[in-house]
Amino acid sequence: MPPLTPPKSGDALFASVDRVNAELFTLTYGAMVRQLLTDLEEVEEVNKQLDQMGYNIGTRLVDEFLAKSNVSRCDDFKETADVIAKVSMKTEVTWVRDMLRGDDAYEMRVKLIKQVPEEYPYKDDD
Amino acid sequence: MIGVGKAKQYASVLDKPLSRGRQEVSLSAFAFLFSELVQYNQTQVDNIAELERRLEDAGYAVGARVLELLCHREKGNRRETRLLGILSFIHSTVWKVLFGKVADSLEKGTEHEDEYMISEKELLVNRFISVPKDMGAFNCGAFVAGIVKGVLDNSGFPAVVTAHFVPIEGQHRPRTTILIKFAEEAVGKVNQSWVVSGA
Repeated sequence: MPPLTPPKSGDALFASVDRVNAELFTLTYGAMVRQLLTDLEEVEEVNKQLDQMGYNIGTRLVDEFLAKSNVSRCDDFKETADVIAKVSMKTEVTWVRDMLRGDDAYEMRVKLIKQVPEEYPYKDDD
Repeated sequence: MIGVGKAKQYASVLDKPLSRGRQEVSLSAFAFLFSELVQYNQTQVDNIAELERRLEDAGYAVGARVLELLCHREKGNRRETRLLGILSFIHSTVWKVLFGKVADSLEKGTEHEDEYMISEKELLVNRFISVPKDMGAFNCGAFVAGIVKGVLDNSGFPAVVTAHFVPIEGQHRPRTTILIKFAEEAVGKVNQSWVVSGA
């Protein structure tokens, strides 16, 4: 299988889009979760809603990503996961980049919880 | 000495030090998230006033936290005690941190003593929102109004804050104005609540 070479690297793409403060994003997400918890009260229900919302956001994100990055069609799952891990996640949310490791690409499930790898490639903000 | 690439492992996320606030996410990520927030709220309400109320409440929570964070990080734990002080704090510092630029203008209302307006040519949250005709004057800026209200209320300057569209000559899209109407106890006084006696 020929190696996938994306025409634009994730970092270049991220540099070219407009950006907003991550704290606004985080706080807005927190407000949304708070609303869901107040309305639905059941944790399972909230999780389901969040899942659905995440799904919707994901489909729109991938549309935008495909529009911006000109990658060719992926032949199989492994390539898709590879592209997502290396290119698109860098585009949309930088901090996820450090948590997704290439090996996990075999699972399509994206882990958004911190893993405990041998070392992190970034410096601590001190 | 362990190499600089090694990150400290914290027992819980609450032990981590505050970040310096320089991290960014793409605008589209935020826009999608905000649109999901609005869409979800649309399913929970029957009318526009309630929808604006809910967005405002969501923003209120953000405002309260932003105030705490910025007070600590940017102002060295000093709090504003004057009306103009807190207004200019919102207009410049809060706006700069959240939206990357200071607000376009801060004006005092001409008709009433206790009214002020912060205007913005294009609010970030409204940038990708289109309002259908049957929703009339609905403004997603209610979220931002909520943020401002959260900051003001938690600084001890209670106010009613709303967002309005103001059509401008020669501009295709209307300007957004955040109208701040202060409550009685907030106007014209140095804020003396929270006097902490040293021990």
